[in-house]
This record gives sequence, C-alpha cells and structure tokens, in this order.
Amino acid sequence: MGDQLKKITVERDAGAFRFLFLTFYPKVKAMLIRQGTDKDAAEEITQDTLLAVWRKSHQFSGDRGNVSAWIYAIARNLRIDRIRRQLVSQRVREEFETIERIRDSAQEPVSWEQRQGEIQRALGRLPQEQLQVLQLSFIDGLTQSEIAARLAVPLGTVKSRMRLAFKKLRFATEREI
Amino acid sequence: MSSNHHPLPETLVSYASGTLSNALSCVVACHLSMCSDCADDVRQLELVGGLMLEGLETIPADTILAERAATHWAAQHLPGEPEPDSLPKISDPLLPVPLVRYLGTEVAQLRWKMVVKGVQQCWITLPEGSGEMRLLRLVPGQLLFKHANSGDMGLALVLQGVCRDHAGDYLRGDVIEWEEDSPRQPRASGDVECICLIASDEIPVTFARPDQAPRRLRRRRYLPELRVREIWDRKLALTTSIAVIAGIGLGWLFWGEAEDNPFEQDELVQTENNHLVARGILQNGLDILPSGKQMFAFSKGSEFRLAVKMTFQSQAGDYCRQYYCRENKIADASSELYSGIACRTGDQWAVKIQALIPPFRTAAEQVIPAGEGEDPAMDAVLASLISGDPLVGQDEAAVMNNGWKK
Repeated sequence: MGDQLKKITVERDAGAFRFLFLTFYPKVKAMLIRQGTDKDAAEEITQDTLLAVWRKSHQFSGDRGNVSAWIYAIARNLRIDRIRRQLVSQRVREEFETIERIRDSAQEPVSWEQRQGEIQRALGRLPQEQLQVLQLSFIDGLTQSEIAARLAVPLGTVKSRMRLAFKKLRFATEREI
Repeated sequence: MSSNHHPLPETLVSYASGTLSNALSCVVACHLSMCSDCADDVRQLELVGGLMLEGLETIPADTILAERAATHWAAQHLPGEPEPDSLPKISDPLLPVPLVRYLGTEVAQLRWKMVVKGVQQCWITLPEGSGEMRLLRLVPGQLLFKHANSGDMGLALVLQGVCRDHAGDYLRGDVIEWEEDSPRQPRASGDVECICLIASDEIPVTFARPDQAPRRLRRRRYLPELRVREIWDRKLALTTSIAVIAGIGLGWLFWGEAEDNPFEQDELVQTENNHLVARGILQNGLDILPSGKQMFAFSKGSEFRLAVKMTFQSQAGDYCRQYYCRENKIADASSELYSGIACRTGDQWAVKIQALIPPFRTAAEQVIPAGEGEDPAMDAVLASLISGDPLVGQDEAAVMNNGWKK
C-alpha cells in the first residue's frame, strides 16, 4: 500500500487513489460508526479522510509511519475536529514533521514497515484483556473511564492494562522501556 | 531532543486513540513537539490503530458505497494541487506550536491575572466539555498545584524555569502528571520565573503557597479555605459584639466553662489518664465546626477564635481534625496562635500535637495561617496519620452528624 501512496504522491495517480479509497472507505466508516458517529457524518468524515490522503500525500513518507496508521490518524483527527472543534490534533502530524527535522541525524532510520510487523505479532501475543482495552480505545473511541464502565472494572485496572500493553508493544520493537 | 519526565503510557495510548479531552490533548501535543521519544511512541501506537483499522470487518453495502464515491471523485476530477501547509506565523520560542494555535498570540501579549501573590494565570478558552487549560507564571518557591480531591487526571507542562517535587526537577518540555493515588506538590524552583501549561478534566486545582514565604504574602485574602469563613463571620458578628460587651470584666464563658488555670493552653486541652484531650471551645469546635469555618469564645478576658482547617481519617480509621486556635488577650492586645491535630477516640478528641506558632507569622485577626507546612513537626504528625484524601463538604457533614463514629 505504500507503493500506491507513492504513486499518488509522485504521479498523482487517480487509479492508485481509487485502490486506497476502496480499501479503506468501508473500514474507516465502520470505525467511525462504532465510535458513535452518525451514518451521514461518518460518510462525510470518511470521504474527507481519504481526500486528505490525496491532498496531503506529499506530507507522508514511508519512513515516518505506515499508510493505515496515517489514515487512522487522519480519521481520528477529523472526527475529533467534528465533535470537539479541537485545534490541535489535525496538526500533530505537522509537529512530527518538525521533530523529524530536529532528530539526530546519526540515529538509525526507523523502518516502520518492519515495526508494523513486530507490532502485529506483539498484538497477537497480548492477553485478551489488554488487547480488549486497546480495541475499545482505538476502535470504539472510548475514554479510560468509559472503558472501565463498559467492562465494569476499576479505572486503575484499565490504566494498568493499557500500561502493560504499551510496554509489551514497546518491548516488541526492541527499544528501551 | 527529548525530556526527562513524560506522560504516563496510558495517557499516550489515550492520546493516540483520540480519547483525551482537548485540554489534556493539547498538553500532550505540546510535549510531543519537544520530545522525540514520546512522538515516536505515539507514532508506534498509531500503528496499532492502523492495524486494528485494517482488521475491521466491513459490510458489503459500504463497499458498494465506496465504489460509487470513488467513481464520483474520479468523474469530478480529484483536487489536483496539494494544500500548502498553514502553520501559524507567530513565532514565540517559548510556545510549542500546538499551543500557539490555541493562543493565537505571543506570551508577551497575554493578559495575566494574579491568583495569589507570586502566581499569575491566563485562562485559555476552550469549547465546552474540553477540560480546563491555563498558563501559570510562578515566582520561585510557589506551589504549582496541590492535589485535587478527584479521581480524574491532570497534566502540567513546564515551558520555562524549573519545577521540583519528590520525583526530581522538571525542566522545559517535562510533563507532571497527577492522578488519584499520587498526590504531588511540585514547586517552582531555581532562579527564574516558572511558566507552565496546566490542564485538567474540569478539576479546580487548588493553589497553595510556599512554606517560607515572606510575611507580606501571608494575607487572609489569599486563603481559599477562608472564603466560607466570611459568611460565618457575618452570622456571628452580632453575637460576638454582644459577647464582647458582656464578657469584658465579667470573665464569663461564651463556650465552655470558666477555670482558674493560669495557662491559656489549658483552656483548650486537659490531661486525662496521661493523655491530652480537647476541652472547652476546642472540644465543642471539633465536634461541630465544619472545615474552613471558625467560632468564637470568651474566657477570662481573652477571645478565643477556633478554626478547623481539615478533617481526615487516620490509618487506624479514626477521624482526625487539624485546627488552629488564636487567643487575643483583650487587656494587653497580645495574641497567640496555636495549631494542633486531634483524633476522635470514643467520646473525646485526643490531641496528638499542639504547638504555638511564632507570632510574626500571622496577623492577629487571622486564624488559619496562609500557606502549608507551618510547622515541620505538625507536618510530620500529619503525614504519619493521614490516610486518603481529606473529608470535605457532605462527607464531612455526614461523619459529623454520626457523632464521629468510625
């Protein structure tokens, strides 16, 4: 999918964009509806998300992340902008661009595709309850308190599950905890 | 570029999933703009979001809709030119870019309001339901915040200067996070003014003042605890006036019983079975006085003013109260201030500690001194006793109405 994005960026290839559109449209919309967005708004945000991929593809490069993660972040930010009129999220990527420029050039470049594989394997190894809190957070868009209420567990339990999951994912990519 | 103090992992998870409030998100975003490690973590967490997105099951109807929409966009011609970046023009080295977007101006242009002497704040307007966010300027020595009595969380980001607590020094870009079980009291440190961005989920953050502030800072109007006292004062004003007129020369008691003991402290405590217990106004006050309010009594030509500062449960489960009592001697206009902690034992208040506070610290009309930690010994006793958060409002009233039974 990184190749499709490159075609969009470099060649402005409408066919490559169509491929990404067809792949992600149903998924992004499904996620937004799970997060409580109404159907019409979900369709609108989904289209805006994928058009942002077309418009902002020049901001993306493979060494800064992964296509699905990028699309996830755009959809997340647009949804937040819609429901909370938030000013920050939509620009976080730009902040990351700034960070990239100040990053120590001697540092090893990160292979995000490789990291994604490691993360995927680590997710598969997570205990069900830790995976569950991540899904409720990332896909259902629930706050920590809402997750605690949904699962009928103390807030501290949700926090500790998230913390443990985070550390395991971090460990999976062989970086220091 | 990185920091030494970061948001907690679960906070980064919630940030990456977009489930933090605006206020907390802004603080995290500002931290990310200054901390490549956390930015890396968030990117990695977005991989998790992307993978979960990829794994979502879809319904066929949406696939058909996607086909239609894709065809529509192809027919309409996709927007050809990428949008240019629209980063703000304001360039203030103090402000992280995400904050500039909220403020829309430089720090020098902000309108600050004094909270207490040495602490100024500037509220940042957010949409309703977005949490609270403000900038704070503190002179060295001032507390950034006291732990609020709430299970919710809050974040502070140091933008200038140094803050310090038991976990170490917080420099520019460092985050101080507080939650229910980890009360913290970071304090501006170093030589320069400290500027922090502070955000919370609708929690009022209580400001406190430093242990060693100059006397001129210790003024009643800076005491949030005493706001309620003003109402109480008005209610008692008439009674007090009558009591003063009638009491002088007669030596009768407004609260408690008259005694011949020459030691003023004995108006407050007495020894029973080798233990100090409260008596007179102190006993009455500890029984019925809500935290933050004060009462008056007259005995032997002195006016006693008692105020309860705080109610808490000890680790043994007893209810304890920290109090202050000022004696104003009418004859020579001298004044003495005592503070103490007493815990309910059976039908009595066992006094754990009571000490005379040096007279230079507080004005004669003031009962509860401004600031925390008036006496290290008092603080030590308090720290050894207290368990959990102080009881306030209806919780305190319920225990009081129940006769302070465990």
